[in-house]
Amino acid sequence: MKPDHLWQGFMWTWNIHDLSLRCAIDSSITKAFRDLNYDVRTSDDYLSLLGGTFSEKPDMTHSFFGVNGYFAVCFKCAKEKRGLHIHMHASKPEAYKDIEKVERYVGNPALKIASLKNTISDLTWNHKLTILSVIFTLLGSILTLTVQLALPAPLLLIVQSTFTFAILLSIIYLVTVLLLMILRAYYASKLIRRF
Amino acid sequence: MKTNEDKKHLKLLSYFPVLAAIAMIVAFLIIAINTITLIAVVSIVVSIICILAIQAGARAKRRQMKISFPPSEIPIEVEGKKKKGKAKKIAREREYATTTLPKYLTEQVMSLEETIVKNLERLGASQVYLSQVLEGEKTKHEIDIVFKKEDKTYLMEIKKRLLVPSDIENLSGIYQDIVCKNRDVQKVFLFTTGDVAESVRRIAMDSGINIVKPEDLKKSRTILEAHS
Repeated sequence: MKPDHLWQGFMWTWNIHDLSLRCAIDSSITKAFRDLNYDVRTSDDYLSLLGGTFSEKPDMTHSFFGVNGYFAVCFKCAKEKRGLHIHMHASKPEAYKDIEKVERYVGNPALKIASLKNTISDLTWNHKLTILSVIFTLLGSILTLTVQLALPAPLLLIVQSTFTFAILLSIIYLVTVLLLMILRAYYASKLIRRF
Repeated sequence: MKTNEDKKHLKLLSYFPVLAAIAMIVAFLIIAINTITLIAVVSIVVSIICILAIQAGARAKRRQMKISFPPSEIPIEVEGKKKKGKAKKIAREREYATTTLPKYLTEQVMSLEETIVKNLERLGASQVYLSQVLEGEKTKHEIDIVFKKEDKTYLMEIKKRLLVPSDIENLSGIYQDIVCKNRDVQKVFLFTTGDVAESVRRIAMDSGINIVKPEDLKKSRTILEAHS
């Protein structure tokens, strides 16, 4: 039986529950291996290459065969039950460099997307605050521009400055959220362009 | 990773709309005598209520969508009770989704294969084999379920998690390898208890892999008829 090592570089994916992001990560892993001239094979090809028998059939997807070594994407097996990891049989020491490259290639944009997604959802309370902020900005602008208030001068000044303050805060908030969303879309396009 | 400093900034920024709201409310109170303002206040309250109502609706819908894998006896009972009214059927399914299903998925997940076999037999499959090894052109493949219906062989792989594109590519490769040696293999099914993204569904359709969800086994028109 040939030696089979585990590569735990993808532990960060275990906390990602977003369906589309997990699919994008999976496709990016495939694309990264293809770019490194690895041949895509079935999981059974990898298992038969190792030889021997398995007490528990590993929950693998496909495998990658190259001159530096052989890799297989696995979700659950007797050695690791917690989530996505890579099984590898290195023919040359360069195999470790290749898998590190793949991890960097996939991890950089994916981690940024995941982090931005969390930030936006924390910041906007799942966009409830964004909707509230848009409503206030619109209503505040309409009222400031159209309504002639019959109030004494000092009170009118307070009201107008309060309105301006509220609108400014809302606009700053909205612009920040918008910028974060643009950044997230940019990294998503970077990740998806790879497959 | 977010540092404590970042978290602090983030928290401060998320107070902005709240501060804006307070400022607006103060402003509205000062000019409360103005009728237009009163209308505006009412419209804000109404819109907030609307947002909350929409979200509550969406939450309920999401809860409802988290259905349903039938233990083999359930669909037969449901089909039998059709004449007694739709409401009863819906109530039964709801009860199933809220009590039986979670219990089933947590406590009896080990017997998932057996449950699928029972359902396949109910749907007309004969000679159902678990963990069958099939010889391919390049290598041997261990298939979770192999079954026959009307002299046609069908393969089924089981995934107890959400599907990713490489699952489809892998199964497609396995099918291509097996079909070279076993010409009677008609179709490949991929059974999943997890979610399936639209992109994965599209790849599966292009590769000729049929994704089967637990609720598909419950349908009166069998998956086998639908795909043959």
